Order: sequence, then C-alpha cells, then structure tokens
Amino acid sequence: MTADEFDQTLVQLSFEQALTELEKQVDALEHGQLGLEDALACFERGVKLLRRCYQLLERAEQRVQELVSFSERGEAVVRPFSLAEEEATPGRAANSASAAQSKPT
Amino acid sequence: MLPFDTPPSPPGAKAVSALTVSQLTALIRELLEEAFDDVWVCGEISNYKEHMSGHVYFTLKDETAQIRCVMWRDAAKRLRFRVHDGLQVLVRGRVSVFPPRGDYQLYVREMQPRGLGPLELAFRQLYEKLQKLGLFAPERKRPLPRVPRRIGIVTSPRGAVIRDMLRILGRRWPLAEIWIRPVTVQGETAPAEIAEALRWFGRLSGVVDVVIVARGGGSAEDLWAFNEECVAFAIRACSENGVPVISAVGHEVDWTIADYAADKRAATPSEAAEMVVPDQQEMRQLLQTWKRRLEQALRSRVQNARRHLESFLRHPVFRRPLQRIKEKVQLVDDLGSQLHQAMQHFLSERKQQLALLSSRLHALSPLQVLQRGYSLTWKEGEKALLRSSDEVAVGDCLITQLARGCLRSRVESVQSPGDAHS
Repeated sequence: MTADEFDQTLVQLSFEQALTELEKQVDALEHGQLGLEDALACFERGVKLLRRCYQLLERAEQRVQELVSFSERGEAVVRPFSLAEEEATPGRAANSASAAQSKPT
Repeated sequence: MLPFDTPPSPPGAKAVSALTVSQLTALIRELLEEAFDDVWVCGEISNYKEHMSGHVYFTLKDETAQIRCVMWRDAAKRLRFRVHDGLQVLVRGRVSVFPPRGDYQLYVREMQPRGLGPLELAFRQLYEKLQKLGLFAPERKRPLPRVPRRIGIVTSPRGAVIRDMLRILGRRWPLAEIWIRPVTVQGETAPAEIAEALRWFGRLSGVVDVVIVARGGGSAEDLWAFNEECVAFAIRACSENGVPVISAVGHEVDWTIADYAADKRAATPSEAAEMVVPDQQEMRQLLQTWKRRLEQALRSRVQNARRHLESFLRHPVFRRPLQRIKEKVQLVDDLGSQLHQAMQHFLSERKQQLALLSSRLHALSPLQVLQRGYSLTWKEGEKALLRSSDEVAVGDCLITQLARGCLRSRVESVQSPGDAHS
C-alpha cells in the first residue's frame, strides 16, 4: 500500500480498526525483521494512526439516540433520546443518525 | 389343600407360568425407574441418619405420605448446608426398588433447602431446560468488541439506571454512540417487550456492536421478566446474529436466566457500562505508550543500521585502503633484500675460499723462500741445484738465483763440507 492509499483508508477507520492497525505497526517495528525503509514507512503509518486515534478522541461527544422502529427498507429509525425529566418538553424535533434513515415521529 | 397353592388352571387353557418374587420385583423396579428417572420432590426430612459409610438415609414426608430416601456419599458430600429432621427441602433424584426389603425408595442426588418458593423452583426448572438445550454453553459466548462504535441499551427510559449508565459511558468513552430501546422492565408485558427489543438489535448487526439489557435492583418478582424463556432465547438470537449481549440485572447477588444466557454478565448496570467501553484516560495512556514504543523501535532500528554501517567502515579495507598494497610491496622488498644478502654471502664465501687457496699456493712457492734471503745456485750449464761444496771446483762458473735477479760468479776456493764456517 502506498502512503497515499494509506491516507485515504485512514480517514475511514473506526477507532478500534485504527487501534488494531496501530498495534500491528508497533509489533512489526519492534519484532519484525524490517528493512530500514520499511521500518520508516511502518513508523510513519504508526504516527498517522496515532493521530487518527487522538483525532477521534478529541472529536468525541456522546450521542444518545432512541431506536424507534425500522423503515420499509429495513433501516433503523432513530431520534434523539432525552432522559425522563426532559421528556416533559413537547415538540421535540426528529433527527436521524448518520447510519439511519430520517423519519418524523 | 390350600386354594391358592397353585394357579387355577381351567381345563383346556394353557398352563400359566408364575413369576418369581425376584422377577416381579425386577419388573416393578423397571417400571418405577422408567417413570421416575428424574424428579423433584419437596417435603420434610425425618429419621435423618448419616451412616459411617458417608451415605445418608432419611424419610421425606408431608401430611399424608412418606417415602424412604437414600443419598449416596458423593451427593451428600456436595451439600452446602446442614440437614436435620423437620427441615423443609426440595430433593431431586430417581425412584427405584431395594429388592432385599421390597421397598421402593428415592435415590437423591441433589437437595436444596425449601423456603425458596415456587419462583425458585420455576427458575431451576427453566435453568435445567435451557442448559440442556445448550443455551448457556460457554463455547457459544460471543466476545465483546474491544471498542464498540455503537451500543444498544434495552432498559427503562426512566430512573437512575439509564442515567447512571449514560453518565459512565459519556465519561469513559464518549466516542460510542448510544441507541436506546426503551422497554418496561417489569410486569405482564415486560418479557415480550424486552425480547422484541433484543430481536430489533439482532437485526442491526454491523450497525450496533453490542447490546446491554439492564434493570436496576428489585425483588425476585420484580426481576422476573429476566427469568422468562422468551428473553433468554431473544438474547441468544441477538448474539447469534452477531451482536453480543451483556446482561445487567439487579444487584451483585441477583442471578437471572438472562445472566446465564447472555454473552457476559455484569453485576449491575453501572458495571455493564464500565465493561462495555474502554476508559479514555487509559486509552490515552495506551496510545502514549505505543507512541513511545514506535519511536523507540524506530530509533533502535536506525541505530542498528548505523552500527551495521559503521562496522563496515571499521573494516581495514575501508580504514586503510593502501595497506594491502603496502604489504605486498614490503613482501617484495623483503624478498629483494634476502636475495641480495644471499648473493653477498655467496660471494664472500667464494672470496674466502679463494684467499685460502691462494695463500696455500703462495706458501708452497720457492720464490717465497728466496724472498726470505735464500738463494738457488747451480753450475752454469747444468740443471741440478748445488747442495754440497763437493760438487764444485775452483774456477767453476756458478749461477745464483736471488729473489730478485741472478748472479754469475766464479769459484775462488772450496771448503769441504766438514770444515767449520769461516
């Protein structure tokens, strides 16, 4: 994989994927019989993965949704979830999660 | 003759063969064993006796009946509580016959103190059933994701449970998105609602990484929904679909069927929230560690390469490139001087040899004698050297050879060899 290809896949990695990949790079660098050039590439990938992990951590903001139902296409329909005491407020706007389909409630 | 001594044999009928007592007993035994191979019986203990052998004998009774019981040593050893007359118990075993006495008795392999109530019995029966179906098999447990992206929660949307869980999840791992499926967690409809919510999450394999089914503490009756068969099956179905389930019902001491069916049991809902995600502080530390290890590993790899290179450079070939040539030159030089010396030696040896021969030759030369003042004399015209005065007469002409030059002289007188020198 070239450095450019790697950069492209990097942004799609979930935290766990990035973490697993990072672990591999550390292991390869520590125990692998890498040539100097490969070792440098390995290090570079490791640093990028680290950066990705930190980025995800920094951006994190807990999102809580309520699973309401399923659409005709079988996709989950969700809306923001609020704890009981806030439920007294009427007229809550319906939203959808990135992986889910929007549907008014 | 007694009427029943022999079976009546009406004329024309075939002779009826009688059973022996042993045969009859064996038949009864077979019947009983088949019918009551595994039964739970409740009753009160009486005539409780622990034998020296370790086997235990007692009678189990209620108001209107009693049955003899035996508990073999191995089973008796597993009892965690003290047994005594009057204790209400629940025993499990099989019914069989003890032929020597003609008694039927209960061979007990498990005993529980009673007072557990019918719920406990139901729990046990369901537990047995589901275990036989393999619902609790350890090999069916699905491992939890290390870092879930999306967590499903099946619980009541009200109360401390969900609030505590969200607080813990938000503090530990805000990266994870939470999808809640609100359900009622007790009452008539609870089991079906919980089961349906789990089935929903089972359909979201790949979207939701793990599901927590939770309920706060309560009485055995309050928690009962989690002891229902449909919930246990829904938990397994969700897990088999690829979404592992954590069960977190009640407090530490409450074990429900859901706990056994789930892939992982948390003692409390808060503990479930703790175990389902990593802690971001710990994760940052881990990342720091890996960062250091990456840097360290690269540094040592580069140092390695440098050392390797340096070891090459230290090699004499690189350090003193002319050395080899110089060495060859020296070798040639050495050979040259050896040759020279050998030649010198040869020559001087020959010179010495020559000098020696020459001096020996020299010593033998008559000229050498003449040199010391001697001379040679012969008569003119003759070859023989004169050795005595007798050989000459006065008036003879003599030739004398000296070291340098010759003399010609004439004899004036002759002295006889016997006369003294004048």
